Amino acid sequence: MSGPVGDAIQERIAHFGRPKTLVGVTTLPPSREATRDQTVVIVNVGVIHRVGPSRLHVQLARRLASDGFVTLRFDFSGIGDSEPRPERIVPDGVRQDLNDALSYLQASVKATRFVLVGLCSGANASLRYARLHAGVVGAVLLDPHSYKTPGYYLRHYRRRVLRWQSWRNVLTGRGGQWPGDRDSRAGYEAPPPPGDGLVSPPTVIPRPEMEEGIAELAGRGVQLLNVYTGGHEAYNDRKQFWELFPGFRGKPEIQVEFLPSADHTFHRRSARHEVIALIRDWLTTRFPRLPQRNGASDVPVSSSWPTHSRTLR
Amino acid sequence: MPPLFFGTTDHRLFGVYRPSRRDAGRSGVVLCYPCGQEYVPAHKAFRFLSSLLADAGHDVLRFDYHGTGDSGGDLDGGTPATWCADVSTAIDELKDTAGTDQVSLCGLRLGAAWAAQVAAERSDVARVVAWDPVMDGRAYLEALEQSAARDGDTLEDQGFALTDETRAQFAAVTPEAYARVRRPMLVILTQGEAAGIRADVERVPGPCVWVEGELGPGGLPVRALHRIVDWLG
Repeated sequence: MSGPVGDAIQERIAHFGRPKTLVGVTTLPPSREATRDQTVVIVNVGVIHRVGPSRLHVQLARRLASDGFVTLRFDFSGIGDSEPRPERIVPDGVRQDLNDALSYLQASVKATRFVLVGLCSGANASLRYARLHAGVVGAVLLDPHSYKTPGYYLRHYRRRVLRWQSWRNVLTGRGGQWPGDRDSRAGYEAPPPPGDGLVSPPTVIPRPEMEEGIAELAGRGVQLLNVYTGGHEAYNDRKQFWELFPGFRGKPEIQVEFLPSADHTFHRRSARHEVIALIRDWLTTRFPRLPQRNGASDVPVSSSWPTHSRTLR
Repeated sequence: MPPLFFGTTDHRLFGVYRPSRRDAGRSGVVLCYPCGQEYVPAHKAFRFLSSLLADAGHDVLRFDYHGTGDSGGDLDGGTPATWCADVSTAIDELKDTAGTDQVSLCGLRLGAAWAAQVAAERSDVARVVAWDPVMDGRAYLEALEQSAARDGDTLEDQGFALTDETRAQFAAVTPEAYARVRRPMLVILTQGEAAGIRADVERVPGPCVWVEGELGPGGLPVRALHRIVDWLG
C-alpha cells in the first residue's frame, strides 16, 4: 500500500527547454529522504493543458508526491503555457520536448529513472517515447489507441440487442443520428497555418507498431500499466487486450485493467479516485522502496527541498 | 513570461506574469478566467490575450483561482467568495511585481462577475472588461446542473463541487452585480444580451471561446481579443 498522505508536499515551477519555452509544475515529496528513485512525468491529453481533464493530473501528481514520487506535469510546445517551437514544423517535437523534460529533471532533482503517464494521445506519445529513452522504466497508458476485435463487435452488438433503448429506437424509427453532426467549427476565425510550432502527440498508433513497442519495452524490463475505460471508442472488455496481443499473456511486466464505469476523461469524481488509486497501487507495488543503507531510515527527516519551492496545502 | 506562485502558503495561487514589451508599462491588467468546464477551452485565448496586451504595453497577470488549475487547494476548496478574494490578491501581486498603482480587470463569463464585484469594492481598479459576462446566475446554474456530473450525492463540474454555498453564490449573479461598478466598463458580447448594464456594450460576433471544440485547433477569437486590447489602450 501507499505511504501516508502528508500535507507537506511541495510544488515548484518548472521552466525549462532550450531556450526556456516549456512550462510545468514539479510536485515534490515532503523531503529528500521520503523520495523514491523513480520520477513520474505526466504528459498532455490532446490540447488540454497540463492540469488535465477535471484536474486529474494535479490530483494525481499530489497523491504520487505523498507516496514519494517526484512528479512533473508539463505542456508540450504550443500547448497551455509553453511557447510554440520556433522552427514551426516539428516532426519529432514530442521527442524533443520529453528529452528537455527528462534533462530538466536530471539536472534539478538528479532523476535517472522515469515513469511516463499519459491519457489518450498522451498514452500514445508515452509509448513511443519510452522506446527511445533507456531511462524510462515504466509507463502508464490510459486509454491508448486500440483496435476492434471480433470479440469487441460480438460484445458490442450483444449489449445493444439486450438494451431496451435500441428496440425502442427501432420501433419508433428514432436513432441513426450522431449528436455531434453539427459543424463545431462554425465561427472559426483563424485557421492554423501549416506548421505553427505546436507539438501534437499522436492520436493513432498502427497496430504493428503498438505490438512491436510493447514487446520491445517488456523485453527491456519496462513495467507497463494499460488502463482502458468504458468510454474508449474501440475497447469494451478487460480481455480485449489479450485478444489483440495473445503473445503477451503471462508477461509479468504487463498489467491490463478495464474500468467499465469510467468515462474517457474521468469526468466523474469516483472515476478519478478509482484510476488514481489504481496508479498509486501499481507504482508502489512495481517500484517498492529499497531498504536504505547505513540505517538511513532511522535518521530524522531534516533535509528539505530547496527553499524556493513552497509547501502545498 | 515567468510563471509564479503567489499568495500565502495556506492559500497559494498559480499565475503567469507577462511584463510589458515596451520600456514603461502603461498599466497592469489582471485576467480572470471563467469557471468549471469553461476554464480549459478558454485557457488558450487568455494566453494570447496576455501576449497582445504585453505587446500593447501592459503588464499582465493571469492566474488560477484557489482549488482550480495549478493553484493550491482541493476540489471542494473554492467558492465564488474565495475566488473574488483571489482576484484582489492577484491585483496586489501585480501592483507589487510591476510597480504600478492602478490595475484593470478583464474577466470572461463568471470571471467577469468576479471582476465586477472586486472593481466595485476597490478604488485602485482603473477599467473593467466584461467579456460575455454571466448576467443571469440562476439560468447559468440551471444549465450547469444539466451538464455537471452527478456522482452519488455529489454534483460537480470539471472538478468543482457544486455545494449549496457555491450554487447560492452563482445564483446571486445578476445585472446588479455589474451596475455597482463605478469605473469605465466595456461589455464584449459574442452572444446573448446585456440588458440592465450601464456600460459600453459592443457586439463582436465570433466563437464562444469557453465552449469545448468551438474554436478548433489553432483558432482564436481574433476580433474580440483585439477589441479588448484597443479599449484598454
